[in-house]
Amino acid sequence: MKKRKRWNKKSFFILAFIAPAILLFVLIYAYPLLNIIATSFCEWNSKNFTAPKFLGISHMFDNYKKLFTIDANFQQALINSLKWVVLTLVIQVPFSVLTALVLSKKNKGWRFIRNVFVIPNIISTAAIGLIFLNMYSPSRGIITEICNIISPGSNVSVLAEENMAFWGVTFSFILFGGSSCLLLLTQIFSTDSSIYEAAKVDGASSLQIDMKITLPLLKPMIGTVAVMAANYGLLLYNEIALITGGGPDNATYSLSYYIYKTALGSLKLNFARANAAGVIQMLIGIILVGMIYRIFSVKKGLEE
Amino acid sequence: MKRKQFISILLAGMMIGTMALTGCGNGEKEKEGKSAENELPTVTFTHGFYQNESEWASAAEMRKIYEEFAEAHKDEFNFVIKADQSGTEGIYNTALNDLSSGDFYDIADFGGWDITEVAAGSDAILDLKPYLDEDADFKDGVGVCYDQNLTEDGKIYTVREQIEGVGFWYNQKLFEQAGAATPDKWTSWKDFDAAVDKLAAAGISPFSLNAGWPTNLLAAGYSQRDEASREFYANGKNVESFGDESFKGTMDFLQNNVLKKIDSAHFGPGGDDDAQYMEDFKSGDSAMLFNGVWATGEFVDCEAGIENLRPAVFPTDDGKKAGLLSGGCGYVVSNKLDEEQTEICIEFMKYMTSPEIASRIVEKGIGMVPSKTVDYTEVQSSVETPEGKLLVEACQQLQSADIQVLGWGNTFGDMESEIQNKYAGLKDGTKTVDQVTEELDQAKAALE
Repeated sequence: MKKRKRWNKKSFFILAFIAPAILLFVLIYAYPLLNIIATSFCEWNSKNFTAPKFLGISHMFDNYKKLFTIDANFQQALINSLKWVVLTLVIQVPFSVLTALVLSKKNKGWRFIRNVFVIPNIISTAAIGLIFLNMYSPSRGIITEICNIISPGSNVSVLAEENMAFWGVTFSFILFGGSSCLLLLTQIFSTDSSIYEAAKVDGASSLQIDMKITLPLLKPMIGTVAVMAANYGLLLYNEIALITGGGPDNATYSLSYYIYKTALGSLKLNFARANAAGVIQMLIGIILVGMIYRIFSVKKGLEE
Repeated sequence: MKRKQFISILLAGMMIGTMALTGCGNGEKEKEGKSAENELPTVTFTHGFYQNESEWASAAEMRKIYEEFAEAHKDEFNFVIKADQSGTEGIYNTALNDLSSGDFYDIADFGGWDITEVAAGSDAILDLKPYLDEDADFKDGVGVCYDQNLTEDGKIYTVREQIEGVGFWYNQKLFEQAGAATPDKWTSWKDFDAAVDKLAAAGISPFSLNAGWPTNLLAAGYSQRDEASREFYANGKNVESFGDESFKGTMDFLQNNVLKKIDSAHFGPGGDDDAQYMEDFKSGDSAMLFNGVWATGEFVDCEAGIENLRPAVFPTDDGKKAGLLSGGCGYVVSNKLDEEQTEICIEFMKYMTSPEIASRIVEKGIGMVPSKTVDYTEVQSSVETPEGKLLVEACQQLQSADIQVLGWGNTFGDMESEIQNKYAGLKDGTKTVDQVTEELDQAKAALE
């Protein structure tokens, strides 16, 4: 009985000390999140800016219906965002893993290459955006110049053509996996070296060591890196805002950019529909994280 | 143990208390209409001219104009002037935040960022129409703003001391070099087409454009070509369908007579950072520039030679001249002020739109004014700099244009960006005019 009383006192103190954190979580994270979900079932735009109005039971999904039936910009944004998720998973993550594996051999100059690989990740995305904007400029950009050397007079304007603009944005971030590479390298270096020594004694080649030992041990970390990369692809905003502004013909809209344009980038200030898109983006994010964790067994790895 | 418990509870309580108090301000004090110091009524005016003189001389001149007003009335009221470092976009965003908590600036200059619909919907701003109607000088001072900003329910929530006056600029030397008729001699859009062909044949790029602003201006200019097109344009925000023949004609003109006449190097992606079209004109690489009267400031010491650059207004096919004059959203006043404060705001707007300030704005090369009372011929004689003279000449042409209409953005609202999104497809031929108008109708339906 006495023991139980003491436990209660202890839990009271624990609760008292985590109360500020809980309060902050509720105010800063949970409340806005619930607000976004709730207002996605409302009419909320410039006409009733201060008083969102519930659409009613029979019309409560109207914002969602409009997104999927008549809003071509949302549909384009959804497709693009999913494409960027897939591209980060199939290009950025494998590229980072490959780079980490090569650097882990500690060949001459590996530190220099590692640092160079990380530089784009410590430059702000705004600066990166401006760099690429200049690179793609039809009048002064290097890409147009190179294309003109290959095909004289082609005057390629990457950002003014629908098909090319998507890839123009993609290449502004897809190869910059420096942070992921650092995480993977740290994981490789923290592996017990005796495992590698034993493999070498048994006559395993470098490729066999990588395939049979390093990569399996890296699996949970690859999962973590994949979650980060996929989220980056899903939430892409800065590059779009700075390089293309969603154009040409909205071909480079992302979900985040759509949300901004719908809520604040138009006179209509359609917060309700933007929030509906936000809820969809959040659901996709949750599903993605769940799938990646499952595929890479990250949870199991972390528990171990 | 008891002491430990007490200290722990005290610490936790302090943490929660501090957090709760952090968000509390003394908002009531700030809202007081009278200064505690001298008991005079106080009004705070917020504007976006924050740049220093070396960065933008016009901003410094505007601040000077505001300060002179405050100084002249310092014994009657306190006119507090605040420059928002985030510019007019920042003022707009702050206003949105304030509106959600029921607040609004006393008076602010929104510099084109249209807050009126949302602020009027929240019952936060003052209808200026009664004040304009009772004072003929004030009404003359706001010029085109009176009609342009008149809402469907008969209210005027904003007026401006400056307007976006837009025609276009041309390089006379390049036109002569190509043997093309200069725009001052054009009597229809056929003359435009003929000049474009001659310039192109002479190896001169007729113009540099992008998928945005300059192309919008040309499209707006061409939309004034005849009565039917002007009627469609005037109905801008309420058009039923973009499948209208006159709009299709405008898109067809853009595709075949404009965008396909220039190479990709003279067509940028658009956006705030894409000002290559301006650079091309200034360097003498293109013969026409579609931009506002304020562009004169950019022409000083330019490679093309300021002496070769001339302003022009758009031709029409029925022998008239057309210019774009957009008042847009400028001064907006809170309707929560008391009578004295409201009078101060009205007094300030009358001052800003008075003939004296209007002449000063033009003479100093700041921009074009909406005032009907400015005599540009008189102003011309008091201006000495070549860029100032060009500005006055451009304003004069626009003021005397037979047709004066709103710009593309003010006309089509949110559809402006949807329309300009189609320019790239029209240029590279991946989209037909019919596809464009069909997609625009879909986008319009989605926006509603």
